[in-house]
Amino acid sequence: MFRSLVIAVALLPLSATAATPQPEHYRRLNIELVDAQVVPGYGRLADSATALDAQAARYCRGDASLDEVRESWGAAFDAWQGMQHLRFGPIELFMRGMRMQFWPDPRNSVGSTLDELLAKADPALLGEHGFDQLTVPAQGFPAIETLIHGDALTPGSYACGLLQTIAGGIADMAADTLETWVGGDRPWREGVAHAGDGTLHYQNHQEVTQDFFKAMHGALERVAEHKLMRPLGASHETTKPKLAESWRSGRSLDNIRANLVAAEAMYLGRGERGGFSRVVREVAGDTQLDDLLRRAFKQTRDTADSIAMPLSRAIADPAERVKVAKLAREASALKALLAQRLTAALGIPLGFNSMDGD
Amino acid sequence: MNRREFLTSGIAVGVAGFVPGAFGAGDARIWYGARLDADGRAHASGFDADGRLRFDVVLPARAHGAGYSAARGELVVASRRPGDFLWVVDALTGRVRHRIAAASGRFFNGHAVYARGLLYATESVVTDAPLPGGNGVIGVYDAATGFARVAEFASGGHDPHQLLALGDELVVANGGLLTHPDAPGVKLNIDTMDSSVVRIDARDGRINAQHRLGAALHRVGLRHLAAAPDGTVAVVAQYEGPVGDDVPLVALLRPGRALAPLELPQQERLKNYVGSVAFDAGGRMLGLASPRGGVALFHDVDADTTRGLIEVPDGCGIAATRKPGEFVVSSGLGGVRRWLAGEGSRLTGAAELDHSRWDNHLLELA
Repeated sequence: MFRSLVIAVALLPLSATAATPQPEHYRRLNIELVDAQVVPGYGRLADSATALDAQAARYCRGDASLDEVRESWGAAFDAWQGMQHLRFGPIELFMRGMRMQFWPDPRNSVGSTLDELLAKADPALLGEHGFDQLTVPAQGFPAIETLIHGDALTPGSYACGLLQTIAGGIADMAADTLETWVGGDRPWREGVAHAGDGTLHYQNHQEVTQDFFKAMHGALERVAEHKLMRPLGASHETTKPKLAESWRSGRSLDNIRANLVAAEAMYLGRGERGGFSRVVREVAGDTQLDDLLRRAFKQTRDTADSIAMPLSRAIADPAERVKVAKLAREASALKALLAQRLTAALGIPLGFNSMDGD
Repeated sequence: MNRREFLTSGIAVGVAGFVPGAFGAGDARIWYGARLDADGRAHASGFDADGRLRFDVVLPARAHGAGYSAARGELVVASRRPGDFLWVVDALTGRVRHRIAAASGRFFNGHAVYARGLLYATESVVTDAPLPGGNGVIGVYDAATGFARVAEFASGGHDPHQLLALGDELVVANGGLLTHPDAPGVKLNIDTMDSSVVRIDARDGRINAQHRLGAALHRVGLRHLAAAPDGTVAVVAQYEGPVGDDVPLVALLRPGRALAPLELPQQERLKNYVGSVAFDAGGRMLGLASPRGGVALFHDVDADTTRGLIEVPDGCGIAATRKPGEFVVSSGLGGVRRWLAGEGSRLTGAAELDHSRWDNHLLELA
């Protein structure tokens, strides 16, 4: 039961481990994560973003339906949700991550920015350098989501031009992110493989592992604290559905499921026998912790799968709401397990000061 | 904002017979730190040079910085942003003297300071749209009337964080980040952030001067401050951009002068994030703590030379002591270290020192 997981966090903050991982273990883990997750993940993002860009052009010519654009957006956004947790590396350059998706957005900056842009209808924004002139909230997936679920969009309209500007910008950013990982004179992949040689800012392999750990931990944190707890509100009568991610398209739970799959994939690694799990099991020798984390990931995903309606309805439904709250607790408990037990097993010195900041 | 419990906690574990000065003249020093215990409960604690816990207050939520008044024999513990409490605590016994709740539509940002018989706290106004002049304010509380909120000054930007009192002037670091209680911890305006250090007249709130690093460095968030006895203020930063970028993290602000960035030879060890800063008692040595780098770095400002660096995993709290060149550093993974003249050592004593997650700041109560 998950309750026992929560207790395990409290009672066993520091576990004695058989061995502390060595630089070579961190290096092997990092390279595996780059090759099995980072590169293919950004590849999927680049491909689906290119497809979205092409679909937007077809729609604006009158050769595709709005539903087809929504579908292409959904596919590209799924690919993004699978990479949303990776906050370091090329995605961090030029604020690409934030430009891909400005969220959370408690002030509805995306909506109000688009309203202004549509009212102004500045033709310069539809030109070659239009994308760079947009402010951050108007540059990413939520802006397209707003357009394709709003009433301003018709083939040939100004809104359609804006849609193409944004879709083109997203496709460029995705391609550049992938290229910076694998291409050029000094690809990031090589920099990670040789961490400490001065190519990147990393002093050693352990620091790269820390960044991967923070990505996995951050995925659970965002799911628990932002994607679930904020819209839940205090009761089923005081929910805040517009604080949910992707409320306009009703994809909030799809996002959460994609995030959980991505975080679990980092933990389990290639063929479910690599990733962080192998370090815990084979290096730290803590099979109990590995079993516990595998169970926790699976249970959290199962709970997410058990919710039978879109998030905005589920939180207001007395029966489904219980499952949403359970999911929030499980994601939060799993996050705590990672922060307290997994960091100890991995021998990485991460605490709340370095992770939360202030 | 007043949803949280103000009545439940405040269990003061008192001094248990400790007498200041009992450990020899000059070593009655006590340091404040906020911490989480093994069960995840938040405390504000004081410990001494022998590693003994001298007071301990259970809090409703994580605390951040603190202000100290020797005249009143008390400290004010500030809740972590977006915070809803300031607790005024007897520095000797740990008894909670006052619980100050955040004013309507305001939250506390984690720092407060005593000056002129008043208490000044950095706060932010909660709004749907950002206010043109910035959402930052300084709440002013009158210690003589049970800490009634008697005034509010504009801070000149978003997100005022640490503040210092120098004579009749407040020096305030406007971090520049826009946050919202509906998305705690999320920075909403990194693309447009505007950080500054302002000098504010503590009597009437007039802004006497405002200093910035420059438009090209607008993502360098100036958040923490320390003052030397001669009035020089050290300003340290957290960069909201890629870790590999080369940007200033420390600047000195001398009276009547502009912000002067400091180049540090081992700056890459700080990972573009300084979480806390202290000037030593001589006003010459600067102690910088970087939890992301897992190090504390000690830089001699007069000689412009780094004198030492110690590894402190998740180390963030740093306080100068009365001894020139001496610092105390706390770790978010447990443990407190001392550094003096190039030598680091561990402070041992109460189990709580090692078995606590020490939060962002330490302060010598002197």
